[in-house]
Amino acid sequence: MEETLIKVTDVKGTVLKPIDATFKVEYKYEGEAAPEEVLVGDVKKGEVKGDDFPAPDAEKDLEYSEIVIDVKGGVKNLPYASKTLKFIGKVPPKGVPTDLPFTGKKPETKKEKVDAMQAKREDLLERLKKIYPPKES
Amino acid sequence: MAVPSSNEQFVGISPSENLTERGSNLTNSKRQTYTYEELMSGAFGATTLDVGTQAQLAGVSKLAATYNLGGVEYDSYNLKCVTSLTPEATTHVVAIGSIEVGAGNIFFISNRSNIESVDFSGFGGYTNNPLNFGAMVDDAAEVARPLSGVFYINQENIPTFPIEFNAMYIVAADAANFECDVYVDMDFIVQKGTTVEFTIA
Repeated sequence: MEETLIKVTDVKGTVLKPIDATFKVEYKYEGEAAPEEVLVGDVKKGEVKGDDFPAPDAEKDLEYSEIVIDVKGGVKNLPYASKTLKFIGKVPPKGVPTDLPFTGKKPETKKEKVDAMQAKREDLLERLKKIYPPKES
Repeated sequence: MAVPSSNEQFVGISPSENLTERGSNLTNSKRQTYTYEELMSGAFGATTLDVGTQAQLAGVSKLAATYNLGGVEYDSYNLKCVTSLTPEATTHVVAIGSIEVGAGNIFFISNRSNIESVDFSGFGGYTNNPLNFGAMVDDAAEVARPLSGVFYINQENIPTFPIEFNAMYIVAADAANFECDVYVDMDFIVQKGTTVEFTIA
């Protein structure tokens, strides 16, 4: 059964469902120069799902594992930074929250909030008008 | 019935007193105690609505019910908004306001929103339908007809703002011009104990 392997959250534990990001999981073995990529893909609705993290090579000693969350750029994406989580000597625990740092600006005045909501409203209205053009009464 | 002022205890017991119930070891400090205001809001939800920049009336209030979903506890709140989508047009978007929570996601668990239109030149009177495509809307002819486009409540995040800032919109569009009145009435849950702040748009 599929479970949540990685929960892409902010530092408050809120799941960043709309975030546009990719992820990769790497295992670094003792004596090897570079980590090995074992899992890669897109973050879907703030989560990475799967049966389990791949089992490490039993013939080698796992030095560490890493989860790399790469948040894509773009003005419409959520304002959170990319982050790498490192787990010494073990694979990541299932359902681990990523605690991505916030990079935007917290609104401080009512005017800031209202202006932002109205700007978004006008943007949505213009996009709807392209599909449902205005008609004369 | 006499109405206690908003935040007095309903049963008139000082909150500092610890009473022991006969046959029970529980004291008040171990019980959940509701104020009169909380009990009434539990019955009705938001009843005092502010006026916004698009003449919409809106408000949020805490409900008495708490939820335990698989061991995770949530508080519940009610969002209400009353507005008119006028003058008639093919597209309407009304910014209701923002719901900002201290931490965690919000989940809308109930939607009782209603659409009212006039049908004076049709079958007569007013029509009332749940807010959705297919709800009856009217126009200058004052004949109600089902809307075949989109009609929904949008919960959206604002770029540059934290994820905990949830902007709420009424969105409606159709190929032909339409107008109607909208009564938004929705319940949502948030992680127990977190703060909830509503800012009308």
